[in-house]
Amino acid sequence: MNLFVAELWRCWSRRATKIVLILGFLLITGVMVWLTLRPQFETKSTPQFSSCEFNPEGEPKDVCVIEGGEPVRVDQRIDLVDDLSDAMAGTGTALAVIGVLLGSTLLGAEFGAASLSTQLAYEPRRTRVWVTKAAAVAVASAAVCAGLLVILAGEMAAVAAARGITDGVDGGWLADRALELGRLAAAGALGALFGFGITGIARRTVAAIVAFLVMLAIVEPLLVNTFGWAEQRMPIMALTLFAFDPFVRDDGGGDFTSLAQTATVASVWIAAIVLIAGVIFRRSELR
Amino acid sequence: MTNAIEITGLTKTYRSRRGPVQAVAGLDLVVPEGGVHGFLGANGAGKTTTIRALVGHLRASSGQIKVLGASAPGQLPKVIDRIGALVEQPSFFPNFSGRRNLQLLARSRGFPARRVGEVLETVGLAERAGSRFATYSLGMKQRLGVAAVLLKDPELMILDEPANGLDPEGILEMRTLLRRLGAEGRTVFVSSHILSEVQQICDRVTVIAAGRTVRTSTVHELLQGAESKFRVGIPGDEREQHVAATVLTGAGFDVFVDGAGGLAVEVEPENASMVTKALADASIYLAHLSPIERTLEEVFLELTADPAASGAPS
Repeated sequence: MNLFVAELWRCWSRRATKIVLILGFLLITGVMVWLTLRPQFETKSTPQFSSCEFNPEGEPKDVCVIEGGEPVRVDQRIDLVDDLSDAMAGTGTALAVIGVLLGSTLLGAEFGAASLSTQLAYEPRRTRVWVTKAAAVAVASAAVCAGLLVILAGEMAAVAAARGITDGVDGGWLADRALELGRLAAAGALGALFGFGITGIARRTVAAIVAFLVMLAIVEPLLVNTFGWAEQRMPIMALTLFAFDPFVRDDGGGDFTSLAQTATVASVWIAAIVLIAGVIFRRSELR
Repeated sequence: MTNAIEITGLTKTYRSRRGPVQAVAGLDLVVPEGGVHGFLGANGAGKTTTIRALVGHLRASSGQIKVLGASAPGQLPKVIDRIGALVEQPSFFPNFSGRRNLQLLARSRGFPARRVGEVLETVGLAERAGSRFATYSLGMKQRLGVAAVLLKDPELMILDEPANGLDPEGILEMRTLLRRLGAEGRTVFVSSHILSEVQQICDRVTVIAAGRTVRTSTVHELLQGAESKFRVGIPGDEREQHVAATVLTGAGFDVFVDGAGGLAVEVEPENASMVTKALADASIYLAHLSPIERTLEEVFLELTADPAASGAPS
């Protein structure tokens, strides 16, 4: 327990952790200030489509001529019940990326400073050291993600209370948001463990970030296009879907059928990566 | 007397692109409990590899290691709180202060927070404890490394070149500190290149060359064994010295000119009176006959000059 507390304290003391929190706070606050200062209502012309053919969904099929319609008054005030839920869902992938960044930098700093040799002179049980570090990195990243979401929710609630709509906020809604916060914090933790594991294997902080982006943008789409069955087995896809949770709003989840499935696939892959990195760490010689 | 460290037949071979490199080749080492034990060897002799194997940073290719009675690395966790180790350069987080780095170590083992202040005071770093480790000089980093070792209040301290980078004042403080720790009954196992320092602080030394132990003894024995050369003080001018040299050579002594230009002979201490007698028989009377004490440096160079001759592998 002492080791875990020390590791957690180290994660918290790292500059990277503080920078993420400060930048997140500034970004959220900036957006909230803009939302507060912009006009509460705006008058817009509703587009009228003429000489168009429409598909069954009511969208224009081809190039249409758009003519101005009757001006309507658009309510731009923050509606806490709808907007916070949307905002939290929108941060999912970003929080997973923040987790990858934190997980990789927190371990990469150890390799950079060669501080593991000093630590192993205090605790030579490498398995214990590795598991504790992984747990601390996951908890710290989850806490940072949760912290950012609390800042987002707090500021949005304040703006909504001052110049927006807070109708519909009740115990059930709060419980749903708490669950969503827990899921997003878990996505941050999974991202951190992915970053931690890849950094442990490659011994380079940047490797995890590159691996995440390359897998997300190139490797996984390529594999899925080549082998259809691969879609349900892709770790980064699973992680981003877990963070976004398309199932709750019926927003498409590929071949994944449930949130639990995305969580399971992402967790199994990430656990394997952390395990391989741990075996390498256990067998490595510190010179 | 029990032993703090026992190493038997330690070998370590590194793999490299150019083939295997044997860093330690059957090293035997016994460090008794208490006092300061020096570990001497030229660069590449295997000192750091041995120390890394002692603290479990690498696995030996073969051989047995016991530290405070526990086999290393398997049983090391049982005794780790009684061992403080500083291996080569102290490694800490560069963006944390010296104090924060020590606090992290202390917290990881549940040591009281006040120990951090105490050890920083002991190594003379209290004033700069709040500065980032990255801003420390080499000597300050070394002091922080020693502070990390002292944090555990260990029975056995394993220090690899602790005076590395220290200024003369720092070396003096380090010498005093290690002597004090040794006198308190702790075992201080220290490798160093600064042989004059080792001579001053160590009770015992082990000299290694090419991965094997060449000699282990007390510093006193090592230097005493070297006192087979005597400076022969002859009153008078150069001619008198020449006559004396002729007499001594005729009496069968090995005569040579010492570093200061004076006459010297090589003879076992118990036979030194024979020199006096030979000269007196030739009516030459000595002003003095004093042993030429060699330094540890000279003994070390002699012992490590030809590892093959001393049984070590080339």
